[in-house]
Amino acid sequence: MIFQKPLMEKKSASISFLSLFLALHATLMPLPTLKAVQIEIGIDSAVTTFNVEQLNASGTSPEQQASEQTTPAAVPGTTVAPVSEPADELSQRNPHIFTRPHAVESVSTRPNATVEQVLQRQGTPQTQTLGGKGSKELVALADGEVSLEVYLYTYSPADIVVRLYDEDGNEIRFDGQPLLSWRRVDGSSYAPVSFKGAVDSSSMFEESPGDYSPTPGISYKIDVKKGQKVVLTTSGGAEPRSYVKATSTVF
Amino acid sequence: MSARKAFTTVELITVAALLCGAIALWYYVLMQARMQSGDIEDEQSFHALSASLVGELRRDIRSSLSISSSAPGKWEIDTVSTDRECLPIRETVIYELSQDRLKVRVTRKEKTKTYDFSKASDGKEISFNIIP
Repeated sequence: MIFQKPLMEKKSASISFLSLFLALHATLMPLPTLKAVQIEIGIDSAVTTFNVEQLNASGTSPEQQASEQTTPAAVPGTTVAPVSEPADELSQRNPHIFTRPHAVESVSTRPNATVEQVLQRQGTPQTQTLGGKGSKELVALADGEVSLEVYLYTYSPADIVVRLYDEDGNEIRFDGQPLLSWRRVDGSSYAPVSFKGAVDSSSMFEESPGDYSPTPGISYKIDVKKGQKVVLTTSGGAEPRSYVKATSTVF
Repeated sequence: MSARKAFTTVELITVAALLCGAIALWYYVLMQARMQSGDIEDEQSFHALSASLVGELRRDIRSSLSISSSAPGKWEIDTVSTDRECLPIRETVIYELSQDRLKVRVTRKEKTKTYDFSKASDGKEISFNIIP
């Protein structure tokens, strides 16, 4: 009983400090603006009010960084060991464990779409552009035609590869080659596009003797079926002005 | 010595008056209880009806793109929903407070549903407002 008083004083001081901290925090920290609608209903003056939140404002898009799938960051100064043999055996014996399910494969190609984009009905051509270097996966939501426009501008070895996968995730090859491949070793050599296994000589033009450049605006058309996946990849020393555009109503 | 064989008139009148008073009091209490019970029933049905209306309205507001008031007591809510194939569709839902302020009409896909508060509010006008 003798020690209770100082203890109580200490406790009340802590509570006071915490209250002051919370009050300051609530005052200084700006709260995010939420869109809400008020509903009032009642008899005569006895009215009850409800606040109901709305969708995001038209034209706004979710935070890309928060919405995109995260990837693990590389840890510096580490040595990556190769996959051990037992794991290979395990994958051979139980391939289903290491295969991504269909439900995961057939995700929408517009994960960060706004309401307006989602509401766009099938039939409106959509252009998916891969600018510079990187990779992009597009899943066909219906049967239809896809137009591929490619442009590879580089001064060093660079590649543009477009691969087509069937519903089961197997790549469809054309004479043993991807749907479209374009490999340039430098900025001046003749290196035409290979589309469906055939070389398109018009994809390069001779700007000056011995100096070849990519033809701007060349495009190729393919028919895809629902569930098939088109993967666009640009790698190597491709300049930022390089691009791959896939235009279709099926994405 | 004569034995008394009957009540006097005064006694009979007194007893009758007491009985009448007791019956009147009992009837009054009964009526009060019945009225209170009726009020509670009305209140309950008003709350049930308004909860149903607010629930429907809440769903529409949560999926709304825009809310506009085309006339006093009339609101048009542009909503997004999905059809049978789970594809997104837009539809306009109209909430309207009737002229007598006793009913709220909800028009969706050219079908009108009416929330009738006339009985639940005991004929009193209701307040209904959507503030975007």
